[in-house]
Amino acid sequence: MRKFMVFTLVLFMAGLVFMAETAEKITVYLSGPEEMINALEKEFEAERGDVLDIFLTGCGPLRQKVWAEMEAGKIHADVIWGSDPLIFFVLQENGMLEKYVSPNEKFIKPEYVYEDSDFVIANSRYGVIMYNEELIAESDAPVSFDELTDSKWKDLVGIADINFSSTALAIVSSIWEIYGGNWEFFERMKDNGIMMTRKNSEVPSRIEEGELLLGIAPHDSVLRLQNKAKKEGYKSILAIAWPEEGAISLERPLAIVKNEKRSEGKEKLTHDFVDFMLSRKAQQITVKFGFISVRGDLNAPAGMPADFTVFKVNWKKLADKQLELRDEFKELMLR
Amino acid sequence: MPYIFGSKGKTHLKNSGVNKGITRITGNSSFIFIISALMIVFLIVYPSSILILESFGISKGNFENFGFSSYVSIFKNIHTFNAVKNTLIIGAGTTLFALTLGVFLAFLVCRTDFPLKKYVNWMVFMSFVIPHYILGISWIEMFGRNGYFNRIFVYVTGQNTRPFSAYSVISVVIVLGLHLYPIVFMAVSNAIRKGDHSLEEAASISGATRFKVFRDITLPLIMPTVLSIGLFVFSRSIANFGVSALLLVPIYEETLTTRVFYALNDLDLRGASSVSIVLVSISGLVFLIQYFLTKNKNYSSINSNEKNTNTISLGKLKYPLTVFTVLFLFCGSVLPVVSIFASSFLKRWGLPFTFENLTLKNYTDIFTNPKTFNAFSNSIVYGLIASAMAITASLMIVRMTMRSKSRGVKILSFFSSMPMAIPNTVLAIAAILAWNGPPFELYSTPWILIVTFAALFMPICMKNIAGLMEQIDPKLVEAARISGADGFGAMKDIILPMVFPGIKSALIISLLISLREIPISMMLHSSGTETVGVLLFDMRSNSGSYETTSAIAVIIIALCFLGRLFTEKGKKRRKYGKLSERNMQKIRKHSGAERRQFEY
Repeated sequence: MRKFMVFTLVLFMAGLVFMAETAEKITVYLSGPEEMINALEKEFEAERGDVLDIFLTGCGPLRQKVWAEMEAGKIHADVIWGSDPLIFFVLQENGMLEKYVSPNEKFIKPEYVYEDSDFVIANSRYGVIMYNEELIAESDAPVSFDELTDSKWKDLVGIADINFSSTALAIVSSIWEIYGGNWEFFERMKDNGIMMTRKNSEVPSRIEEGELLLGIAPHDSVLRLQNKAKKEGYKSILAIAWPEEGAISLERPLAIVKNEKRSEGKEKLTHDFVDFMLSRKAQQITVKFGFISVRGDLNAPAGMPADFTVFKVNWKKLADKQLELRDEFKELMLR
Repeated sequence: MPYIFGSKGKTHLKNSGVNKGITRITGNSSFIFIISALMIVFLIVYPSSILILESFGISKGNFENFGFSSYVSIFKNIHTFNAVKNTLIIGAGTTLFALTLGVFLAFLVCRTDFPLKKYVNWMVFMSFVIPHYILGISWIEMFGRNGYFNRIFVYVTGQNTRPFSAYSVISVVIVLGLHLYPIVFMAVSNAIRKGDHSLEEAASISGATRFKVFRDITLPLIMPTVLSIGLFVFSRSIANFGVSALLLVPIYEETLTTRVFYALNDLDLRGASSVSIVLVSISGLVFLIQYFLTKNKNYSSINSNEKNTNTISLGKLKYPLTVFTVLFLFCGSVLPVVSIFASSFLKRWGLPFTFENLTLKNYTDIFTNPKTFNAFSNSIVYGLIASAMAITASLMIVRMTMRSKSRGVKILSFFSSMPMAIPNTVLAIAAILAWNGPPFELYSTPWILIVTFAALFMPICMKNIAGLMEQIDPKLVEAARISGADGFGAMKDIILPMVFPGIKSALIISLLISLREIPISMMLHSSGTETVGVLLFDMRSNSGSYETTSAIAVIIIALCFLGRLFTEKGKKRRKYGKLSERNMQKIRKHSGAERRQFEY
């Protein structure tokens, strides 16, 4: 028994050491594919050492965490990289963000520049329709969001649940705006047995697995799954239909959290991180994972069409109404 | 000098005799009482009180929003009723399913000439070690739109219809029923084995049919156990979050636990607290019913002479029952494991099982991913520290319970067992409210997970330690005290070695829970404090599919299996702890007490 107690004590002490504070680092809250975040972290730390404390989670939990900390009066992150602009307008209004103009901002395309904002758009993606091309011929594939309400797709269309995903709230709000500010589309989708997933990336996964036939989600995960299939030697059955109402432009903002007590060293690191994220090198990494670069000097990822309609969302307007829209959507789905 | 207020003042410790009803506890005892009371207040009473206050709008001492509005609004909301309805259907359905299956199998194995008893035990054990969330995933792999059963149906019939669906309230009932029936089986088996079967024999001799014997003799004998374990199954199933989230989210159905989670996502802390209190009230009511039903009632008489009992012949039913049981257990226990195991080697779940679609990459990815290693080590380290805290508090409380009947000790004992009736989702909400600001800012640190795990483990540790502590002969401790040992000396040399198997078993069970727990981990983790539960709940989405989760599931099942085997082995080897020869010599030397054989 003595050995056992010594063993437990050693483990206990090891645990305390394990949890002890380490050297000066900045904390970054973000969401996104793990491999991409790892590649970005590796690149940023190559010259600086272990300086990033990354909190990677789904866009829903990220939004919940940031919002909870904002309500409590202190956001524990130094930098936040979100999946859509909805919460960033609220953070800015509450004076939680620090304005920083990166020297790399001059490379950003005008459509991604928000005047008078305390955040910067780091990259983007599009909310699109995706489907199983093995079971749905291209000629039969829906070309608009509206066609998804057809009864032939009953119980076969998926979308991420706004209870779990912040991007889903952004997509749902955008479609609400596309439909002239009413819930008609989702009322019909509910009648058509729309299925929910916990994350956006689950939508193409469920389609590839045969659980769903179609879905609405950001395009980047389809490109990644197609690449995965190619790399591992099996045939991908995923295809994208670019909706004629317009692919929803889902911009991913990056911002420094205001903290007057932050040390000089940490402050410099936060600026370096923003500069890095807007650099050509970092943008190339995100393009490799299917995202759209905000820089004018980089091409779109492979697999994107040359021409398609884009629906430019009025994020400021939706940000002001987001809680109302969230509650209305939930009420509609539970009805 | 501290006092403990007691109802009867009965204690073998010093009684001042001045104030009736007040028991004075001196020296080490008062110190131990204060320490353990502080631990229980910190781990359980404080978070629970904050939760209750928050539900009435009292936050951080601010009474401005005090009122019943959140309760009024949740009871006015039609969707709350739907969530309550689903929760109760899941509770009642799971209990019925698990009881029917568990009692049937226990009777078959313990009382009849069923030929495959050993295999039934193994299959039940297999069901027992599969975490419920993983069972849920295997359910989707089997009955999803492109699940194995639908694929077989399409292949066999040639039709393009898929009759099976994985997502429904009934699916949750079946998955939880399959997860919880082993507990019923084990409890009822024990009751049947210990029952006096001469009554059954007498009834048979008097001409009663087998069914009549079962209905009139066997069933009433095991009824207290069935009721008690049934209520336990009910409370566990209404408290479940993982399976409900997995199988009900896709169809936008809610239970009370998912509603708490959603309210938290919407930062409606007051709403989350009120729904939590509703959930705890249902759970608490169940435990109260259980307490009153089983209090001072034991219908079964003890007859340890198990070998002398006559087994009941199944007659013509023997083979049909065997086929039915084997088929059922194969589907309920073996298939989920086979499905998870097979999927863990696929490049992509949903691909046909051909050689070119198989890979080891899912496993190599897990073992080379630092996040996976971090999650496993976090679960183990947090589990160890939390169980060390819970075991320390339990040792002190159980020891005091045995020495004193004072009201203070009873209250302490009650509060330490209270988390048994609190769903994990609610424990997490209480932790967020209690530790997210002064005076204790544990939010965003590993300690919020550790103290909440410690609260969760308290009843388990209490139960494991109390059982063995009660069997310690008080004379032995007295002998040590007479020999000059102080309270701590007696604890170190006599009590600890004796209850060591209980401590070990509590530690292993706690570690197994920390490896599979989801709601607390999901709601309380932060950067770098992700546990295996977070990995399981999130990984499917991050990697995009079931194949990686299946590989993690295989590792967890293997760990759980090893853990259980380890505890079972420990139980078989010795029922009680042993005193070291050195300690025994000390006692003999000073008191001349008779040597007693402790090792069995």
